Amino acid sequence: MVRSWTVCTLSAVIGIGSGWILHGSNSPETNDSGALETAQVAPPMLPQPQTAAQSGLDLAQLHAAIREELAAAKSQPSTERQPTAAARPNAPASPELIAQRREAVQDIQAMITAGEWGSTERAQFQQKFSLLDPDQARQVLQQITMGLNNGTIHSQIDLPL
Amino acid sequence: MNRFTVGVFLAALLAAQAANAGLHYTSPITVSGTVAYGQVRAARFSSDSKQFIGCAAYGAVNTYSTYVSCSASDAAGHTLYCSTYNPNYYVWQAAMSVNEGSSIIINADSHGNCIYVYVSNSSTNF
Repeated sequence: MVRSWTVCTLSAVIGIGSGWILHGSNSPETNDSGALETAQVAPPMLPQPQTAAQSGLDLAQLHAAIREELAAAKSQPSTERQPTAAARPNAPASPELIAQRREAVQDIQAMITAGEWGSTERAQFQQKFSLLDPDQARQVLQQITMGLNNGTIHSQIDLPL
Repeated sequence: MNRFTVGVFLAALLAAQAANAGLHYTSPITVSGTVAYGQVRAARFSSDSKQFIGCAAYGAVNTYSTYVSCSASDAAGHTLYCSTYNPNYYVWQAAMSVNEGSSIIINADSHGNCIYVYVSNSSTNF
């Protein structure tokens, strides 16, 4: 029984010793796998990553800063976000956007009826085109192209669209 | 001195000829029904003021709607216009690869949709 304990103790000592030696050879200078692995295998005596408290940062302050960033992102004007939620095909359109779209379609129809298409009309069309929902956009695009091909719209430029 | 001048002139002439060597052909713009084809360069340097061929692409940050459009006109003034709403990647890439050395084939359906855009960029087009 005593002999078994001796063998076990000796094995444990050899194992721990070997581990310590191998561990010691895995210094930051010889380790190619980066700082993260070094930090994970570092013995207690080596510098550890600082916690928020140790580095002087208050966790509550950190949370507050994150909350502020999120709030600022949410309050950002929709025109600065890309693309806008209103412009997404499946997003419900606001009454204001619906009115803008209706007006845009009317303006494009007026340009089609006028029948002359130059760089000014192209620029105006493209500006209004971005407001339209997919069905409206597809429809007016086809209408203008067919008008150009059947001659009801006369293009003054090589690429009217 | 005169011989020297003539020599320089001949050398310049030969250099100019060498610069234009290589396989080359000219394909003016043809518009036939819903198909149009020809070279950008041939259209640009044609003697008439009618020919053109090219493509454009539209995209904006505040919309998901995009389109590609192509146009062509032959020497007689026959034109073809086509557009594709929210084209697939390949049509978009083809339209955007057009440059001064392009030869283009455009095919439209009866509604004016571009159903086929072929672009080749080759030294033979210059």
